[in-house]
Amino acid sequence: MSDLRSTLHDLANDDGRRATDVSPRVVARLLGEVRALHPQPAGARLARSFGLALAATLLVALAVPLWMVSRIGSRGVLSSSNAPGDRAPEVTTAFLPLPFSSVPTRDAQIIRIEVPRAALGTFGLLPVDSVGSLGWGSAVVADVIVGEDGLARAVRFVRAPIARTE
Amino acid sequence: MDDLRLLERVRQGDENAFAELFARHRAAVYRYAAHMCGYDAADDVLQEVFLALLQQLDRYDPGRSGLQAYLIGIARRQALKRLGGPRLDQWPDSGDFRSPADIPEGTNAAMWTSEADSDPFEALSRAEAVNRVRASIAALQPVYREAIVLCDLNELDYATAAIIMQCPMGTVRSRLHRARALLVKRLAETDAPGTKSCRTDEKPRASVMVVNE
Repeated sequence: MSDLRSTLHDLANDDGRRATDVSPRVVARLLGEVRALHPQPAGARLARSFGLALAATLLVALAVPLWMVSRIGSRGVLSSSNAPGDRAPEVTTAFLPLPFSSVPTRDAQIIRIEVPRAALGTFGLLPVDSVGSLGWGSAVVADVIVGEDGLARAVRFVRAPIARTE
Repeated sequence: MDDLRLLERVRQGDENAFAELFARHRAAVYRYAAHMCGYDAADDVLQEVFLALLQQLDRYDPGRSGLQAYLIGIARRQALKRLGGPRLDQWPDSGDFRSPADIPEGTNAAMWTSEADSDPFEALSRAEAVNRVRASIAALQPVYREAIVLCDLNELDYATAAIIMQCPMGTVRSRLHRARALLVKRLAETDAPGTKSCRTDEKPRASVMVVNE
């Protein structure tokens, strides 16, 4: 009987493993239901809309001058120090999955943000004890893939191009 | 953090709290759903159970049962609805509604190799034993299968099982006793004749061990 009990225990463990492989569709449906329990108040929605409008304004304000500069640069008017060849290429890590990476998304976007250096240590990209001891500043640039539901799916870290010194 | 506090945070829309509750109870609900409705339906039943919890959070009364018993109780109603019977003992015999397709193809033998037993034969033998017990449980009548799932697989005590099964504790005890006897008998019947004599030079198979109660 103890062997039967042991086999039943193995079966229970096997079922438990199957339960952890539950379809991402199920998880997404349930998380959606949790979010619906506590919809954002009107004030928060307004603040979010305002934030999005501000971000869009900043994007246009930055993009138009950059587009004009790039057009001028393509005609050879820019100084050579600003030519692309004088800058080291941007270095990025691979995209690293985040906890909601298994939740399906259709309209994901990549958003570039600055995160604390300690985030590198979280992903094992930097010895934790070296965080803050290097003279690279207290923040690093990261690209985050965000789904249309606002959940972050993956992140990669970026070393911004550094101007070469002759 | 206990279930009640997590539920309170879920009410506030805390996804992490829900994720913790889900991780804590999904295996028990999944086991019940898989063995009572079939593995193919287990994901759907699991979703329905947790949706019912979220959509009617105020219906859960902690004074009556623990959250896990409550969730399995919902799974039981889902199972009854799917199988078209108002009571478990009115369900048709398992042979009428369980097809071999409802039972997963088999436990992957490789999964055992990552555990303590690194002997491949031992791993294969255990995986085979698990699959035979799984099939034998599926062949039991629902009332007996339910007792095995609740008390032996989910390791619930008689009192909790009685709440879920909506019967006295004595009934749970007697059903479980009968279920175990039927399970051992069925395993003995399905043990291939001559298996022992062919493999006497090898380690005993789990299926043979079961017979030697």
